[in-house]
Amino acid sequence: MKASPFWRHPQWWLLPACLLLPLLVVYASWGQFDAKLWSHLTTTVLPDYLLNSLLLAAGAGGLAALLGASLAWLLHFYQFPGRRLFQLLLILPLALPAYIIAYSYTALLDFSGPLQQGLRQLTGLGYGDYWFPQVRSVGGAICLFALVLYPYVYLLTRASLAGQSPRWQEACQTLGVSRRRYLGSVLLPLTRPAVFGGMALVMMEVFADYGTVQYFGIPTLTTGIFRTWFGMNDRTGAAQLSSLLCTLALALMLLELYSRRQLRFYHTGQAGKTLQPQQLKGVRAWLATFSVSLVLWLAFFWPALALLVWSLETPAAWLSLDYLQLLGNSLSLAALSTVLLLVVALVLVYGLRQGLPAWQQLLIRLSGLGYAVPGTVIAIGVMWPLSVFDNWLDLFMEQQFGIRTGLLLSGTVLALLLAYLVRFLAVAMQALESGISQIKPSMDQAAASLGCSRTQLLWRLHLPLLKTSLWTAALLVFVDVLKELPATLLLRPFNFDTLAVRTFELASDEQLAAAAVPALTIVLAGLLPVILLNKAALKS
Amino acid sequence: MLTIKQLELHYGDTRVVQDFSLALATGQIGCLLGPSGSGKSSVLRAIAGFEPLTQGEIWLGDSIVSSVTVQLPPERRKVGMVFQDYALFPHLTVAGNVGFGLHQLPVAQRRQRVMQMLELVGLTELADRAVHQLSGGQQQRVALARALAPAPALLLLDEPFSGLDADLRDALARDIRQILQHEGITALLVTHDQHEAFAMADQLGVIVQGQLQQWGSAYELYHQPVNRFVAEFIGEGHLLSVCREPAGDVRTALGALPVEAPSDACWLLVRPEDITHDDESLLKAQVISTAFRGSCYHYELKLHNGELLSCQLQSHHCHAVGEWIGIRAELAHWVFFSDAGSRKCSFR
Repeated sequence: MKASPFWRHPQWWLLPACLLLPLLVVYASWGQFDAKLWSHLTTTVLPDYLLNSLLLAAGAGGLAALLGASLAWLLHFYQFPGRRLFQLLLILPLALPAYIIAYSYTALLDFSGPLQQGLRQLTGLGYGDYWFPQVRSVGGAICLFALVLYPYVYLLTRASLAGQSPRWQEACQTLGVSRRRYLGSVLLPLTRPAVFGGMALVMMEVFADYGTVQYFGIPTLTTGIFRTWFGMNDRTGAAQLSSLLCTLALALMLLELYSRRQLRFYHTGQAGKTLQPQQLKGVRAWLATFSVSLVLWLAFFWPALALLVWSLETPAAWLSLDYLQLLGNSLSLAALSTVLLLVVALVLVYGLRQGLPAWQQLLIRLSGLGYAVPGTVIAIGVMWPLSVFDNWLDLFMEQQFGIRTGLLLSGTVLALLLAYLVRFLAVAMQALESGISQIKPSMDQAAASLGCSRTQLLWRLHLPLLKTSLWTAALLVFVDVLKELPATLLLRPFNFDTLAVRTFELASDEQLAAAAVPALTIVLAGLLPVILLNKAALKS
Repeated sequence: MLTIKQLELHYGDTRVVQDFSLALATGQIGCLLGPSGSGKSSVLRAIAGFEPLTQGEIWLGDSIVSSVTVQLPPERRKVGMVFQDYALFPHLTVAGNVGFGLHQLPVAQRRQRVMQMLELVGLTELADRAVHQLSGGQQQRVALARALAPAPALLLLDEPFSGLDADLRDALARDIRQILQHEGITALLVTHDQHEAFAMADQLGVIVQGQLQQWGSAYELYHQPVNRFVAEFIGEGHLLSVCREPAGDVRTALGALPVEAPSDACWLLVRPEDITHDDESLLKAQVISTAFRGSCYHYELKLHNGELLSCQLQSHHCHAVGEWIGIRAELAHWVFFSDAGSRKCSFR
């Protein structure tokens, strides 16, 4: 069978190329270099932006790595009261977007918050009599990021420890090597890539954050992009700043990719008798239980329960027309994007399976880059070409037919959908790929030899086999879209609010209690993929 | 060198090995042969010190290393082990893996020993490669070099060739035997493949359901099996029923026995090489299947009373299925079993 020429299948070259366009556009902005603007930026705000972004990422990354790796270590090697339950609960913080925990903690720890009030009642001190750490600071942000993002490190480290062959320890023993040296020169180096990989993911999330840093008033690259775009109305400058942020994020992605490559060689996949965790006794056991509970309490239960309490103070808000409208907007937007994402991901994943030429495979792989890139950057990258097109069309139509078309594309939901597509494509593709890799080419051939046509193949073999991974992919992207803040904020049509946007706006107006209802909705939705993750982990 | 006395092992409540004794002299290569799940790997792991005993003793040289009360930790036994999956450290190079157990040596001496080991297994050029870049056979050599580097008193090999292609297996088994003999290493190997066992070992044991059935040379196991388990596990062959006629004659389907059979003999072991083809012979058997094996044809035959035999004839002898051919029995070893299954006696 002769392969048909590539241009006959634009879905496998034009489509991924278009998805890559927003990233290219951001870099292309350097074509219009404004020396005056940049000398202004470099002497005033840019050092702050860069320093804060890097400081936050490094601090949160380091702290999350420490927290996640120690938790994984404790749970893998030791047995103590509550261990099994902790294994399930420790990934709960994934359901809390950083901006939501930031609002929650601000309300909890502020001067008028319950903790300080209680403290004052207890001690009889008044305003200014005592020192209390400021939540809305770089240090506060680092702690909060680490609290909600440590599960990335925890999950990867746990998987890495579980994937290590117990034979390695036995081999060390037969070679006369002590346990300490086994830990130091075998276990540690073999686990390190997992910790670094998780840390890279944490740092990517920190770079992408807008809601927290904006609320805390920390000038970073993301807030700088917003300011340059809206405050200074300088699109080129915003795009150029975006390219800086994008480069940082892509560098992290390379680190993550590298660590994953290492891990592939490190995991033998040999199932053996797994190591029995060591029983902790007495004080040490309770200390372990206490410290894990404390992490869980701080990272999830306290802020989530606070949201619950506040949202129940105004029970009517749950049924208000405004809330229902928000819910409707968010759900329909997420559903629409999910369908679009699944279709595109399915098409591309099939392309990969098809044995396309190397350049097309690379193009498809590159079209998934968006997952590493902050939503702000993607929004700028989507907005730019669309508004250029709109302006051109408007001018053209006016000159030719005297009709003004205005912002035909850039002001609509279409722009949002495109941004989500670019940002979350990799998530959907990854879930589908793991499903499709289980359909061996020999199964296709078996079906064909039994008289199954190509369309029948899809309906009778592939879709039933892909059902689970389709649902997984759908759930993951649905919730991701629901949570996404900066891209939505930048691209949403006029007067079109979602849960995330409203949470952000209410919190920015210091109406933290009112923000609790939409915030809690997002957290509840976020719990779904967490449950799914636990189910998968329990199975393996 | 290695002495095991009345070993018994349990996994939880299930007894996996019982009443297991053997002795291996210095410089000998021993082999435990048995079907999967027979408990042979458990014995090996007990010798290495990974499994506690519920009964018996394990001695290395003249010191006891395992008993119900004593369990010397694995790292202090000086017992090297080659694992079934090799268990190479993926983050280290070939040289790093081989030198891993030499941490107490100074750097220069360590390097020298590593090169010496790599030379021994023929991998000197690959010293700086990552282990995942090696082929299965090369990884297996690295695992061997790593285990031999600290000069262990005893080397254990757990199914060392199971991950390799058949033709590679034979070559590697020969090579490794040479290396072990050259270095004068005492080794115990575990496998389910008798060709491997025959190629490697001086002394072999067949282990079935946690019990050592017989311990001896390959020749003894093949020609003088002590019971039906061993006879059926090692080599091919069939059992013919032995019947006594009122006149006192003892016969099988092959005719009257030219040797005296023990009084309770019920079965006679007939190996394929005991049967030859002779058109003149009055003894006939029907061909029920044939298999071409290159140098010979393997025939399954049916005797007039319905009992089965197998034989190997030169490959230019070609008989069709269903044909009756003349055969002659020329047994060098007369192996009888009683009904209970154990061997009664054998004749040369």
